[in-house]
Amino acid sequence: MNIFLPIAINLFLSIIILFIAINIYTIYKRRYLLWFVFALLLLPTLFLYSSIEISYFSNFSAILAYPIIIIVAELAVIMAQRNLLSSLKAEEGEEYRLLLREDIALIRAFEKLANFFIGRISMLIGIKRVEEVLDECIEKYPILTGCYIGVDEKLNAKVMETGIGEKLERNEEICEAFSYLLIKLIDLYAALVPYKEIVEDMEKAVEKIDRRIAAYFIPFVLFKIILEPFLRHAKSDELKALRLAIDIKGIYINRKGGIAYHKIYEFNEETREEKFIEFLKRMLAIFEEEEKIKRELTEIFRKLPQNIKERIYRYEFIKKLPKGILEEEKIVLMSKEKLIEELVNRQKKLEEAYERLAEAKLDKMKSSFIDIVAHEIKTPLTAIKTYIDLIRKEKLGKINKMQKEKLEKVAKNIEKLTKLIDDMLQIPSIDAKELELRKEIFDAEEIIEKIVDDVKEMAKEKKQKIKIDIEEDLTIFGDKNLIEKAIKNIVTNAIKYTPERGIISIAGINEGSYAHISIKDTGKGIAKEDLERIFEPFYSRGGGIGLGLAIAKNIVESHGGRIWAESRIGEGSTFHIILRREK
Amino acid sequence: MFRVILLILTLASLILPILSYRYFLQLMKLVKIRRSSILVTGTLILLIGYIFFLMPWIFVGDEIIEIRIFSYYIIMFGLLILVYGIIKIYMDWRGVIK
Repeated sequence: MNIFLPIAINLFLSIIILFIAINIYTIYKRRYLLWFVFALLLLPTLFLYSSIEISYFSNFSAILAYPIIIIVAELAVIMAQRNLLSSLKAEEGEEYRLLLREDIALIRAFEKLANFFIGRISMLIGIKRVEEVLDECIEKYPILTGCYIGVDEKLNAKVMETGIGEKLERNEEICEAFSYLLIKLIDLYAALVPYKEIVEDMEKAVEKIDRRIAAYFIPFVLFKIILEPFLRHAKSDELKALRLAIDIKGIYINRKGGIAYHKIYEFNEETREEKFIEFLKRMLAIFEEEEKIKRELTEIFRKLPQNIKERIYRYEFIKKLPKGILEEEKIVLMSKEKLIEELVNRQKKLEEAYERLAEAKLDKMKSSFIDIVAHEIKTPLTAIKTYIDLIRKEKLGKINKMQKEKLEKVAKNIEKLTKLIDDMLQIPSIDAKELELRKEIFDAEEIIEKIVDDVKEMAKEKKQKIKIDIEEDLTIFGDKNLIEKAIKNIVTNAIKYTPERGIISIAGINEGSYAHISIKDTGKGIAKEDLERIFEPFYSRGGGIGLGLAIAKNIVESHGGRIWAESRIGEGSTFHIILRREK
Repeated sequence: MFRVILLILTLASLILPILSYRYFLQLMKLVKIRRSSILVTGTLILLIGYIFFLMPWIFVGDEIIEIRIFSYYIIMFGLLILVYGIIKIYMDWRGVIK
């Protein structure tokens, strides 16, 4: 076994890993990555050394190099991990935020937002009241336990990060607890500063939130930045009416117009948005100067920070907004959607046209193929038939009885084959000019009786009855032989698919300048999906090769007539033929 | 004498991954690396291959070529898993960076 093969593969794989690590390092250029690169550089070195060691100095002392290299690599990995860990803990550099887990990023974002208000409140009234608010929140939401206001007068929530497990399931809980705290802080701040200023501050604070976790702050923006300014300035009777009207689960309004929405995290994103829309509609219904509010709301929406706009400005949400709010945006989005719809429709039509074209091409190819094949087979078949006849009639020498019997069978089969080829030749096309020359007016009853006479043996075998009811003097204008063939095909088909002791009824009625021939059977019927396809060449429901009805259709249509079938499963089938009676 | 040194070095090289794993667990509490289990699996298989590689020298005092080849194949398997994991992580991070 070649020992160098696995070494070479391992060398190749370790170089790939090293290459990726170097690639990451060129993007990030961090010290911990350099340690990783160093550790990974030792891997290909190890395999290179391995091949040299086997070739030149395979002894015990040479083996000692392996654990030494491995230890160095492991130490490098540990150094890299320590480095990354301390960087993350110290929160060095903005790019580490990208590596943070969603729940930790969420805690830090809420922490920053809370500190934003705490800093302002403490400047005005000191930190004691804030501490009381925090205690109240911890009591209500134990998830905040361990959070404290530090000597720097800032909220410290690091304890929550260490308490979090590896599963990212507590995000909603974090949002709910912090929302409660934020609402309390905003209420406190609103007692000291005009709400308009608070909104401006909040917009600035929200702008700094990572796009990744922006979705969690949507309720905060919708209720505290968009709606609350109106409530804070509302007339007392309007606010009172709204407080009575708002019975939306998870949303409450205090006496000063502050909105508490923290319980809204119990619902999914879509429901949260629906609740906002519902709130907005009720507010617009109660508040005076509805049009003015709508204009101002549009302005607030437009002024929102980009990270939040990206989440809110989705078509579904904008569309649901009451009329008069963000109308221009709605039009832009609608026209965009209509354009997409139009494009999709056109593409669909194009695909359909292409399919039809392909089908038509295929049909044409099929017809010419049948034509060529049938003609090519028919020529040698005629020669075979002639020679078989000569042999059978002993023109080429004497034959014994057994040979004669076998030759008769051959002749019979050749006849069958010739008939089949004749049938196949009928499908592609019937020469219109030739047909015109052969057309004549003939008696319908005459050919139907002839057909019945031809098929009566077949029907007798199945103990079937054939009934004829043809109106007197009913004539057909066309090629007698072809029409006879078409009707015969349908009658034969009816006999074939009708069980024993069934009844086949052939009727012919005069319909002005047209003759209507119908062939009804008491067979098992044809399924709806088959009914559409039975006239296609080679479409068989079992039994034959599926040419009879296709030929009949071809003949009738080349005479300017119409053929169709009606059927229901278990109730038999009726085939209708409409043909001209006179020239 | 050589065998004792080898044994000590091997033990040291097996203790260090345990230390490394502790750091890794701490990191996992802060960093969201979705394919971290692939890295752990790959590294574990590499270590198994490494142990197989050194086993004949520690216990017999000489090389057993079949075991050596076998260990190279185990290492190859570990490296394949690592390549897969690292490529996946690289793709994830590249998406975030961009």
